[in-house]
Amino acid sequence: MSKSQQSTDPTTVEEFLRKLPDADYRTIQGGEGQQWTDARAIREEFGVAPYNPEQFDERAEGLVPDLLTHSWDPPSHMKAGGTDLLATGKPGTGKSTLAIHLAVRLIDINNERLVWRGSASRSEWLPLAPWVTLVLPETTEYSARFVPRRPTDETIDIPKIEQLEGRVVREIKRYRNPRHLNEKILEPGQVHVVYPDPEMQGCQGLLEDAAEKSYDLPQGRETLFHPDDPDNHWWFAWVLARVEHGPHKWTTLMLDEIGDIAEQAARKDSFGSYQKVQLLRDAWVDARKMGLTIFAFGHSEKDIHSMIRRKIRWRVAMNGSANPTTASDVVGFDSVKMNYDHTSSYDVGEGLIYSEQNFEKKITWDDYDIPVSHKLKLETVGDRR
Amino acid sequence: MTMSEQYRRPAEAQLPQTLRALRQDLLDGFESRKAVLLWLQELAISTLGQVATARYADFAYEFRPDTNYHEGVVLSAFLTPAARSRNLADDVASRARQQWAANVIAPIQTRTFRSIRNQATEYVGSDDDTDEPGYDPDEQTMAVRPALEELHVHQQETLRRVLGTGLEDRADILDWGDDLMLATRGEPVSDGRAPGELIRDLHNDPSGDRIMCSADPAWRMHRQLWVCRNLLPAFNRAVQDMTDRSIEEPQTDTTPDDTGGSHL
Repeated sequence: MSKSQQSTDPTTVEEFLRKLPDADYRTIQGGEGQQWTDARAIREEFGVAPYNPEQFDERAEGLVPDLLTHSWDPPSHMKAGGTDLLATGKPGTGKSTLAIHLAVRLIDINNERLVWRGSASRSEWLPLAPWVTLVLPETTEYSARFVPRRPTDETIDIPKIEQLEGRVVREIKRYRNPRHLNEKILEPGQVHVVYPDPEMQGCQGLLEDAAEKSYDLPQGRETLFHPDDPDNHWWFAWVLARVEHGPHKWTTLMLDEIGDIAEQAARKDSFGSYQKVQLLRDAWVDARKMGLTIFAFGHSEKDIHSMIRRKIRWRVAMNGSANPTTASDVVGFDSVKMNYDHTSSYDVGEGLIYSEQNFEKKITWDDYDIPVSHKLKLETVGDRR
Repeated sequence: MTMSEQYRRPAEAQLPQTLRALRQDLLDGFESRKAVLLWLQELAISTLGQVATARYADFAYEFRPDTNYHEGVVLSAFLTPAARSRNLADDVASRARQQWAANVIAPIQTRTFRSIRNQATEYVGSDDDTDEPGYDPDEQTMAVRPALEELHVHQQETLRRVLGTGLEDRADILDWGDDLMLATRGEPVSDGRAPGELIRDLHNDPSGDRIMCSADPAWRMHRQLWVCRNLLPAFNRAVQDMTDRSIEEPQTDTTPDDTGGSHL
């Protein structure tokens, strides 16, 4: 059987890496009060205009600025604390580009600590790679591979993940457990792509510390978190850690493909999937108060557990399919202000943003093109200990 | 009827025919300013309201005379040589009309089709005795929506009454107001006034009877401008209102005019 080409040849790897922009160290000291920040460097690289809160439709009464500008002491018509968003649309409608753009806005506007959920098979964050800190669990060894979108193109194997540092991403850091990540690793105004810890270190302890949180244990198990769980389950513990233990500085979690985590089909299985969705739901409300923003992206509302959907206050309907026109279309909403289908006729890269109270008809965002179309896949290759 | 003339999704099959006929009318040119206005109304209906509402209001300026001519350049090009007041070479006028068709009608064809596609019903022959698969588009009403056809008739009638020599008198303004209500489905006119308020104001305006009733050529022209600026946008909204599926809360989302957009 023929297999696509694969290369570990140093020259080929080098040639490939040369196509990618080098890591950008100019702004690593950025952050609050700094003129020269990652956000600014990213904006300049991709030709993104500075954020202008004035340009939104007045009739939407600050719907978008309220979502993006985080404040503990906002004007009366705006909400305090973190925000949340669910953007749904079919593949190819620009969700990931929207996620990148929102990430850039958030680190720009609020000097946010941005956490992008890393997953083995997805790497939509690659355009931001020169400014990204790749954050991996301390005990797990990874290899990297650039997989082409066209199967006939060459796959580039990077045997040691450290080879990416400086060439693809800015830094690689290791965390011990969710609390360590939040307290010691995350930097304000920076983008962190975090891969979950398959060992689930420190996860069960978080739950035991949270006295008022109690969930049924899966049958035959003594803990809710366990190394046998799917890696994704680590994210439930991370949200819990951030809400319970802080630090309560503006932090955003970008959940590309939230359906992978809190799927509607979550059941009380042997991994406690349903109980963990309950845990996320409970943490969701506290998240706002603790300055944690969660922006989620998925194919359709129905892919995401209704317990979670019920808590999300902002929605984006992507182009190509009809936006909801009645409240019954949106779980958790008592009213929907759109009377018409706008989004069916929108083009790629356009969407409609709405809340229970308002909507902004057409929003657009920038493109973040990079010279390669490969996906970066990370694979665990063993234990580092 | 042959099988090939029949379609399972008649609304989709009919749309290209309707738009082709509409475009041909434009390419041929119009014999009067009134014909242009009636055609613009047809444009709103045939495209299911997909042309930006602002375009109708903007076109009104074409009806404004200046010191030398009775109409703007674009309107001149729309009119046949006998009907226009400008000295415009025929090939130039013809190219301008074609350009307008390209710029305005072509881009919204897809949107119109998609809006119909979302709602079009698929017919699966109800008569078991025949193996005819569907319906002949030529025999159908506008986009196979009888209600839209009805709206079309109301709008044409409302325009015809007021264009030309105008209404009879002030009392006739009130009577015409009933037609206007049907034709606009209560959608506001360009300045945001509800049709009922517009009728009240026209009736009470000292020169309201001249605007609406005078047969004097200058007032007729003014009336055409007024119709284009005020009524056609409201007609377009009425079409949108009818073709869109949900109308639960008309106080918020009355103008699905999605031109422009805000950059995040």
